[in-house]
Amino acid sequence: MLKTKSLVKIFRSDEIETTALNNVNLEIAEGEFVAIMGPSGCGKSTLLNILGLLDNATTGEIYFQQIDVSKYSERNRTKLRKANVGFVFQSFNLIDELSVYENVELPLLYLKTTASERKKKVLDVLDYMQIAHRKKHFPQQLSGGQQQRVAVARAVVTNPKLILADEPTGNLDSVNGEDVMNLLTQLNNQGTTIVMVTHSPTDADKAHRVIQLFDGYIVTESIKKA
Amino acid sequence: MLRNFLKIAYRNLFKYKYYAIINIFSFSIGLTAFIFANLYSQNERSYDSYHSKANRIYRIINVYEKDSTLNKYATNPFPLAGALLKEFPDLVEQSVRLFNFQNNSHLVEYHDKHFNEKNFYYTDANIIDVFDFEFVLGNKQNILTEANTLIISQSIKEKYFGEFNPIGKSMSIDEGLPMKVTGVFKDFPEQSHVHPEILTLFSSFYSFNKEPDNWLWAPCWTYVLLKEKIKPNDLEKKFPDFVKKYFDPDLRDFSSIFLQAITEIHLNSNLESELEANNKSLYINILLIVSFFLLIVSWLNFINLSIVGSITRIREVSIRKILGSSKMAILNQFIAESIISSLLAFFISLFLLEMFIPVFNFITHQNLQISMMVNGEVFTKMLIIIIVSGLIVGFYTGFYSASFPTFNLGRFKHQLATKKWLAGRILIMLQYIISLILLIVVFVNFKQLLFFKNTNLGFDKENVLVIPIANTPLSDNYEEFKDGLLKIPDLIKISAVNRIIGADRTYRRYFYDVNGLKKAQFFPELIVRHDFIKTLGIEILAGTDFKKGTSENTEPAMNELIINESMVRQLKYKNNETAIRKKLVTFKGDEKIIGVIKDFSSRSLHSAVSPLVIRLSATDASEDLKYIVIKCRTVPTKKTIKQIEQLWKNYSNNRPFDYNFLANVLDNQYKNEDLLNFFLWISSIFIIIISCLGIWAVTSLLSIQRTKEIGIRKALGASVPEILILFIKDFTNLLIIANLIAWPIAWIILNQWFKNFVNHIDIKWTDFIIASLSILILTLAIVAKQALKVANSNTVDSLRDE
Repeated sequence: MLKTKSLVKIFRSDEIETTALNNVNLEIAEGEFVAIMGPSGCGKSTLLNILGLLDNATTGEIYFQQIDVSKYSERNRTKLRKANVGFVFQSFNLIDELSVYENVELPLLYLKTTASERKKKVLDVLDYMQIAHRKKHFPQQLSGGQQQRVAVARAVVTNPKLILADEPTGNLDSVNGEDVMNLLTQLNNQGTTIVMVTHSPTDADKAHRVIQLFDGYIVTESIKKA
Repeated sequence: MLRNFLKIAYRNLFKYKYYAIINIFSFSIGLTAFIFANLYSQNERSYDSYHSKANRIYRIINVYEKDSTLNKYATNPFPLAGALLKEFPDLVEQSVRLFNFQNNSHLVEYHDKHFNEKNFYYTDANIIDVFDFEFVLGNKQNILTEANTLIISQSIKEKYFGEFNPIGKSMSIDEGLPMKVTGVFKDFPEQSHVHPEILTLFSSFYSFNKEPDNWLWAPCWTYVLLKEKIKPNDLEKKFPDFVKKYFDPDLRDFSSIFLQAITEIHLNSNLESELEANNKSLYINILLIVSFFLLIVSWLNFINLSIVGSITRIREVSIRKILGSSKMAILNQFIAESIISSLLAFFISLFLLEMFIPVFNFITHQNLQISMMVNGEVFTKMLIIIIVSGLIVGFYTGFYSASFPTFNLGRFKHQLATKKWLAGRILIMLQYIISLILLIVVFVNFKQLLFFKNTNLGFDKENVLVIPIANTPLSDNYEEFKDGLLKIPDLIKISAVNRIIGADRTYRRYFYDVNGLKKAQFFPELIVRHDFIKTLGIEILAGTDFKKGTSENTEPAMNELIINESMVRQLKYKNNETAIRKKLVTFKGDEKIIGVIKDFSSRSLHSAVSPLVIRLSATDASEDLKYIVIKCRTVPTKKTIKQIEQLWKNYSNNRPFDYNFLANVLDNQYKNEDLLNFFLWISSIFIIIISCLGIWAVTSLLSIQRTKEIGIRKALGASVPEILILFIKDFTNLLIIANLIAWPIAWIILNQWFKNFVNHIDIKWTDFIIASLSILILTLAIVAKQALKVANSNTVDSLRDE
């Protein structure tokens, strides 16, 4: 599904150069559930953003379904991303001015899905996430757990092959966190590849494989489940 | 404390210098325009008020109204001045006249220097008591006391005498008797409705023959000086009886006279035979209004940009509050800053004024100076505007910023972008509305001006040369001169006239019958020589042109007339054909209509086409020949002009050779409209620039506020065009609403405006579309530029932004 070769990411400001990722080689198979762990600032989110085609690596290659996308233009990356990747963020990143329904509908709009199909898909996914009763509400009117459910709904509404989750439970209490993790596990069981950045060992336990990052290097990889 | 405010204000200005420069500069553009308009208005309204007796000097205007004819003249019969003084000794202190033989060009000679002078007048000796003359040479006791003496202006003195003292020297006017210079006066200031340069007494001309005592010929500009404490109405109410008693029996029932304050002439007088082209108070008011709107737009921008500036300081304000600053202290700081900004804007505008005043003066032929601000009310006005706008903007942004929360800034910023920015949107919409209205009005008005200049006048003004020949030997040798001219290859047709067609005309009284009723009426008249109709390409609708040989030099020749369509209607003839061979009567006897021509504008297009009679001048009537008109095949070359001048020298007895293009003479009638239009264009360009800066400010704010939203949308797959549309939608909505409001207002303004013109273009909806589209395109360009910046920014950074 995903493969990286010697990924390097360097952030440059006027005076300082920070190496966020250093020679990262990684392969993620289709249907896998991978957790990325490590201390703050080790490059977890940077890696996730590059895997999600939101950001470019400074050097190195990245393959998405065996295609080298390292040199893809912004336009092509967008095209690839909107059809194949769903995102779940720690801070939910819902758009405040849009209702629950509209937030979930947004990726479908960008995919130019027809109105009737959009409606069906949004309602289905809201049902599945058990949040349909709040479809007319705005993000501010929801609890954190509900907001993250909406975010997950938005991530899966396009039926992506890959879901990237950046500390999806970081802003949630344990009950809601558990809830979201169960949702992700369910999705994985249905075949969706999931890559998740997390601080929580409990959450990481749900993954098939845990990758430990430290100062931009992959230090260990442990397989939890076969 | 104040020092602390000033220090912080100063540092903030520099810290946010990008905003500060645009903010202050756009406000100063508005201020500059407003000051210019006010100075200009102050100057235009000050015309003739420099006379120490200005509030008692009135010009007499003469109104003739009969049937459908209404004529208003600036001139009056010769005896009027004396009769007024005689009849109302308790009311009128002095009366004085100016007279130029209805020629605005006179040959003035001193030794080998000879020029055609425009500002020569016959006058009465007491002119120096009524108007303010400042004599630099000559003994005031001996000035204008006897016939054949002159007083001249300083410019004339320089022109003819250089540094020599002209007192006692003799000059000649129109080849008449020598006249002795007895005084030199300072040139009349620009702010005068008349600029006499050479003055002599009526008795210089009428010493042998008596001054005309009839009440028919009315060529004298006549002024009265009212006695102290006399109100104009005291005199005016006695005028009807006065007219009955003195005016010609044929005129007295249809004539009336009125007083016109001398200070009103420049802006509120558009009569027949004005001394000089006047301006219109309407135009001045329009300029003031437009400059006021320019100020408002720049001021709205000032507010908008100040708010943008304050939002960049949310963090600073919240930290201040956490550290214990009171809301009042924050408010005070903002007020201090905005007053400093507006004062800075004021100083910059003073600088801009100083820089552009020479340009302005060059364009308007004025002599404005910054120092005029201090004398007039302009300075007070400006000071009030500066302080009030500083206070308002300071209060607004101060209150606004003091309400910033001390925590959860990210969410607050987001709220600002979505809700609180309503105020900013309303300001932008106001700017849109004003810009749209102005642009539409300016655009349509510009088309109106082009229409004035390019409209088919009913005659061909292109490639027509006009050569003044009044009082020159040319008028006696016209036919010979004409034959000579026709040998020059480029000249096609030649004629001569007594007035410049399309600009001016004279009047004559005609007697005629309508349905058996005897009528008498004054009608506009042009006196011409042969080939007039052909030279100007006027269309004959019925009958014939004046025929050579049959008419000229014979008695019946004097009695043939060509009239226009309006005259046919006025005389109530069934159609053009029935008018032919009909009889009109003048004091010359019976006259016969031989042709009917298509209507053409015999005066500027400001006025409606009126009836017109064209008569042929007899060869011996040289006084009728004031201009030669020459139709050239193409634009005359220098060589052609040289050839004409060469020929001129053979006949002119060393008269200076002047010429003009008819098209230029006619265009000159619209110089006030030209000027107004120029200012309107400049103002609208500035209003649009300032509005663009406003839009830029709002988009830059919105883009900052929406960075995160855009990041999310991009993560979810939004393309750059989709994000662009997101931004543009905001502004197009505003623009649509602004259009809905601006169009009807502009339409009403234009309709009212066009009531000032008898001839005007139709208002087309496409003009509205063009104006709207140009603003839309500008907006899109600005918004797109800003939006692209955000859309192309790094998604990851956008998402991290909190």
